[in-house]
Amino acid sequence: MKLKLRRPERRDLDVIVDWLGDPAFRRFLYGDNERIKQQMGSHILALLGGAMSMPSSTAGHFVCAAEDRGPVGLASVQDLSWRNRSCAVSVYAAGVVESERFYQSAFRAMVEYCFDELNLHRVSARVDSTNDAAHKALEGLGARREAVLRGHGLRDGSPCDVYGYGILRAEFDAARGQTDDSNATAGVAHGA
Amino acid sequence: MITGEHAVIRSAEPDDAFALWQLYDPGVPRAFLLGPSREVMIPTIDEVREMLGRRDIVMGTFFAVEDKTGEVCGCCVLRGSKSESDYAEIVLVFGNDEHYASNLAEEVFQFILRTAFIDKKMNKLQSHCISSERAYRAFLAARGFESDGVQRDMVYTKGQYFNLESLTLFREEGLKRLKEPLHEAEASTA
Repeated sequence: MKLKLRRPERRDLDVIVDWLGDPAFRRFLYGDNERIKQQMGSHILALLGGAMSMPSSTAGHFVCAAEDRGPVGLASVQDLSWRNRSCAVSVYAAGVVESERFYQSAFRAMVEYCFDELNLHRVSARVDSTNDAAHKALEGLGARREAVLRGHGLRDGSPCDVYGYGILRAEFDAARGQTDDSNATAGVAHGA
Repeated sequence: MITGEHAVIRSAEPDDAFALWQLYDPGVPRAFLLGPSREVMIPTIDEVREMLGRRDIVMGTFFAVEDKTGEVCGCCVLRGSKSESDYAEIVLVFGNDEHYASNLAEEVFQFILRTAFIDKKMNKLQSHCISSERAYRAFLAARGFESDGVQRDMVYTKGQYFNLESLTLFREEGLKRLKEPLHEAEASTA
């Protein structure tokens, strides 16, 4: 799957509104705290405004677009700290069939963006303990599972574990040096 | 207001601003100093006073701890303790690390247990320690908190990176450690 990550635009509105029907997408946006529709509406409009280009912003979103299918997911940079030179990334897959390849491509593009464009030192990611495809993708990039946050999330009213991953720039560079970049399947578009 | 044998625990007030501001010592890296995005934040006295004046933020979550001489020697905070949350992050900070090994600290811990697990019916408490906070980590570990893991190079301050450890105490373990309830003063403000 060839993925391109780009900033959300007005033309993505219908797709993103459709995704709001998916509990996994609402968790991606809001964690375990559900919002009312009005709050979600204003948040989506702000998201489409794409604040990532502003140097004072601490969060931003990217649409993950497949070459042949259009938007298939959303990725985000959160808790961006210039002082710590760190951030957290997360990825939402909208019913993607090849979820393992999707997560590999999306996380790789996000981590590359954080290190190569934002010049960060550390990237974190929190992932549900049940999301094996995301674990494999992150570990394939050289990320370490640093924390197991027991009972940290709620799924269908029951507590679930959340894994905390972290990758330092040197680790990513080392992992990247061992792989053949000529087959890279994703990247963040210019202007992001 | 909770009056124990060694400590008085009460809702923090704007008049506590100077005493609590002194706890924000940038010379000693502490998880307590971390704001959003885990950045070290050093507020001014006015900012602390303004925050303490906001009852919607402070009420039931931000407590000043006095020793028996009436001096404010620390504070405890339950961050993110909203009704829809199943857990809260706790912060217990003293101006002097020696307090962590004292009976005063144990009384504050008992207050935290009662507030979190009985009053607010939470499922777990979480706390964070920067790698240099040995006294606070030992305090938590001795009271049943178990490590969830260490996030490497999470905080940059004093010219270097520090790791940040997360520790958790679940309700079941916390309730086992609850002793006799502290005496609650008649004119309660907490």
